[in-house]
Amino acid sequence: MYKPESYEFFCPIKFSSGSRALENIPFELEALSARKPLIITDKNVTRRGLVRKMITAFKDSGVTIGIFDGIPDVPDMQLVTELSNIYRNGEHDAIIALGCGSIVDVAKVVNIAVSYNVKILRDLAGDNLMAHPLGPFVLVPTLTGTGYETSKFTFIEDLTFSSYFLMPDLVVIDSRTVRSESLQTTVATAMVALAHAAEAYTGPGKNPITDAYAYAAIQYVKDNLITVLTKPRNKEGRLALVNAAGMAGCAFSNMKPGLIHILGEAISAMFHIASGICMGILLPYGLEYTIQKNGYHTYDLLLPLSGFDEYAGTAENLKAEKAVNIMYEMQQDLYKVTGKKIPRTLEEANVPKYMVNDIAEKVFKDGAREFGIDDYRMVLEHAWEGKPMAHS
Amino acid sequence: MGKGYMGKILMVDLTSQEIHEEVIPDEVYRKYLSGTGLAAYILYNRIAAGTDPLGPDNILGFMSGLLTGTGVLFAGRWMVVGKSPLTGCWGDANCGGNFSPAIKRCGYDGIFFSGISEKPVYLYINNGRVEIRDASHVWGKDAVEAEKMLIQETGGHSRVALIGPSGENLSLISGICNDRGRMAARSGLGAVMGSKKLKAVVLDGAKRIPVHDRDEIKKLSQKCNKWVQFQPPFLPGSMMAWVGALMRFFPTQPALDGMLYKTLLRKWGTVSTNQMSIEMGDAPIKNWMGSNVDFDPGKSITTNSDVFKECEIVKYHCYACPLGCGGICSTKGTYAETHKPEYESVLALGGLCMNNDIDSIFYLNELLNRAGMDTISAGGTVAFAIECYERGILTKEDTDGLELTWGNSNAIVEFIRKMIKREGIGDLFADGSKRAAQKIGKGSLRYAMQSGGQELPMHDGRNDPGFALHYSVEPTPGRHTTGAQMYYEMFQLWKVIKKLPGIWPLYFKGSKYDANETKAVMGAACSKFMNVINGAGLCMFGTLLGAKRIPTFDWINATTGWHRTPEEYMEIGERIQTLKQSFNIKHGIEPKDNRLSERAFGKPPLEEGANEGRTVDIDTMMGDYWKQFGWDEKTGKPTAEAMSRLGI
Repeated sequence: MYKPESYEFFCPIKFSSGSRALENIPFELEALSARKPLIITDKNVTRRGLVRKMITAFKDSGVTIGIFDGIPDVPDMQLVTELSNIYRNGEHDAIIALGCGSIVDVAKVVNIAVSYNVKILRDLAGDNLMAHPLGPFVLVPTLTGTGYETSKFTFIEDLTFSSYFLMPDLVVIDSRTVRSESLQTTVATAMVALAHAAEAYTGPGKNPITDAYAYAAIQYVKDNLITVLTKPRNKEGRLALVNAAGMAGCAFSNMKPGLIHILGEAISAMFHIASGICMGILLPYGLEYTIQKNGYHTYDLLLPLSGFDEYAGTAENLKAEKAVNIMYEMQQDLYKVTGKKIPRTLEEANVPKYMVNDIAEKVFKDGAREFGIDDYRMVLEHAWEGKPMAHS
Repeated sequence: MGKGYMGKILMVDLTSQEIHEEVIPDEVYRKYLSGTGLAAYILYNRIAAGTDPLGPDNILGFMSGLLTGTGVLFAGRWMVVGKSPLTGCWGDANCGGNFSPAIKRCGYDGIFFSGISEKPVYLYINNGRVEIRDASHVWGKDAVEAEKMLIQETGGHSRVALIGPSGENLSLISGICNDRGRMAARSGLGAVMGSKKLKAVVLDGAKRIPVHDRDEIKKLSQKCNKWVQFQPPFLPGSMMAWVGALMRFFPTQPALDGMLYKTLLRKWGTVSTNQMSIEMGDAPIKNWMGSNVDFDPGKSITTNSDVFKECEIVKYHCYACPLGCGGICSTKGTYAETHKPEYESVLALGGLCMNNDIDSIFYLNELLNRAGMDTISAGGTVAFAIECYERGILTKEDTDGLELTWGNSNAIVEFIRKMIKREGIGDLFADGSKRAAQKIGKGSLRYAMQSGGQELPMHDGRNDPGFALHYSVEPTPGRHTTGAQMYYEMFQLWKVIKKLPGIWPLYFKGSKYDANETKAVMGAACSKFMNVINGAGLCMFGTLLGAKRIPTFDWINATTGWHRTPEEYMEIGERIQTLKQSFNIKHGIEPKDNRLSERAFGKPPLEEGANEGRTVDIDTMMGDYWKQFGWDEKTGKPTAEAMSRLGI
């Protein structure tokens, strides 16, 4: 067990997970002193009947709800202003984000806007610039996560907001809202959780509490992802994946972004590929790099990935390599199970070879100085060719 | 009451840092208009014979047009002029965007630079105050980044023309950029700017541009705009390859009407004809030795016009343009956005190199725009390098390990990056294909597809012999925006100038390939007309609407208060052309040496594809063309009689 000399961990989130978790929301809202929440979601979620399920959950509660289901894939500040007006004019006192991705981003920014003032939003963009807590914020995630939903981050236009106050007060994971999505979306949601959890578990910011969150997230993804892909109706599996995403987000909020996260986000932005897919490709290569470069705690990863027996039975010097091999095997399995729809390499993801250097330079230029350009380039080159570093 | 022009030019000597204004007499405008016409008058008289294009005695001019800023539509082109370091000839290039009116709003029709600065500088004009400022902080920056910085530091409203790293490195195929990556790309004038250590021209003026009859201009513009706004529905982009194939099969061809082309431009931009041009034989493939058979619709589908439409974020209109053929597209990779690539760029970096990786084309488009390197010449040079590699003239050792094979987009990108940085093999090719061939030897010059040293544009003279002619005979060799059979059809000049030959609405294709006097008359008319257009600062795409629909001559009369006939304006065009040709003769150019490369006019002819078996009788056509101007039909040199007749 790794014992850091000192550490900090913060997580204000209450999780409520189960087959009828939605029905807990009115009660939980009351505990947050809220009686008129505004539900923010998109048309896709409405079309799938999830808004109707939310309405049903509030049926006998006496709570008045407002619903806005017009969040686009790429929201802007104008939308935030409009939603802030709706919130104020409707005298709402809490926000419920139903869904993931841009829905949650907008919900978090609207929460800042209504708690402070929409006019000074831009001044609050940055790291920890919010001085006091925001209004009650509830998240009801679907299986379409980007990894940031339960984190302290949110993004809109060219702005990034970072504050612990942006983490939800309550996360409600209900098996009825985590329906099966497309193969790519499911894999992307799970892999971003796995990447964040793995980096939290092996990275320099590791501590006993991030370990707990990360351990569970890794285990949930490893044990359930292939099952959900082969049996999409498996409710428990889907529930486990969304739980993993939630826990990984909490761990991620308490660590510095790692190499896999940094490169994955950069590739995602540059080539319009889901960040989870990018991180899934980079995961084993990034872990191999950390073994070679600084040997952090990659060997520890074998425990959540393979269980106690195998961990205990593996020689100390082979643990890290074995853990990485499990990641490689997982990539192959995903490739097979999804009928070659999930790329194993950057080449398969249609990232041109001539861009490898540009990605490394861009990441470095954008301020990710934790690693050098050569380090980024090395990982990217291996991930492009699909050539494990151990064999080079 | 004004006449549309400002009546003044600014002369800047970068060696002595001296700046002075010169008043230009009305008579000069009456004889040469403004734009390239006025520039020809200045440069012909002031650049001494034998001047080194990259030396202090070359003069670089930034010109606005006679009609720019007057309320005339399509009058947003600015022109850059000088002695070309690429061809040694008269060099000009033009571009749209918003820079042209800025020149006039500063009070000038043109700004000319001579000398060489000791350190990097930029010229800043702010409401009458002219300064030469230090540009060390933006030297080395790409054109988009540097433009942004210069606009910010000069108050946020300036218009900027500048070079990228390619011009700074004196690459002879570099251009001058404005409006975040648009480029006056041809003739290598970016290298002239680089040689003068002039990074940018930054303009912020608010002078009113006086005209003779604003109401008449408005009336004419409104009438013209009705034609532009008429936009009938058209076939989906996916059908364009088939349209091209049909045009290839039919023995007859309809005379092209610019209203049709305008419809395509408005909907898709110049990329509208990508696949159609390949299929009908207008686009050269595989360094001019391939055809539509090699780059069939299965391969060219990635360059279909709809592909560009799908990623277009917003349409882009140049100054005073009601058409808006431009656009800003989202791209994958290093750059989030780029100007919608033009037809020329897509085909030069695509079919010419057998590259159908559209992401690489978008990326290269932005990379080259930022570097300030001509996309046509870059594509032509890469295609030449690939052919050398495939033929064993270059080896993998020579290419720094690059597998320079047809269609290898990774290698193409790396090769162009090296050209921009002048790194390794890139240094050899950074000055274009002809210079590289002269250094490589081994008979490689025959694979460099050029005219007077300038890489050929993406219109095949074996399909439209007018292009082969104009590439060879224009004072700026290798230009595609001066004339062709298809332009003549669309200009419809015979509708306002009765002595010009008309075109039947449907004609047998075979007649297109006859080299006869009528063709020479048509070719000469195109050149003369385009000189008027470039003097007026109009966009060629506007003029393709047809002479009855776009009132070019009436606009000039309404602006200046002159009462001239179209024939008189064509004579001005002839005068400008003769003066530019005289410039070349003065600088030791033999016009017949500018004949385009043999393969490009069908010697030997292609064995398959749309242009199978065709050879253009280029020597006869060149002689006939020169005769139309009263020049020596064997040498292409203007005769004393012609000079005297035109009052030069």
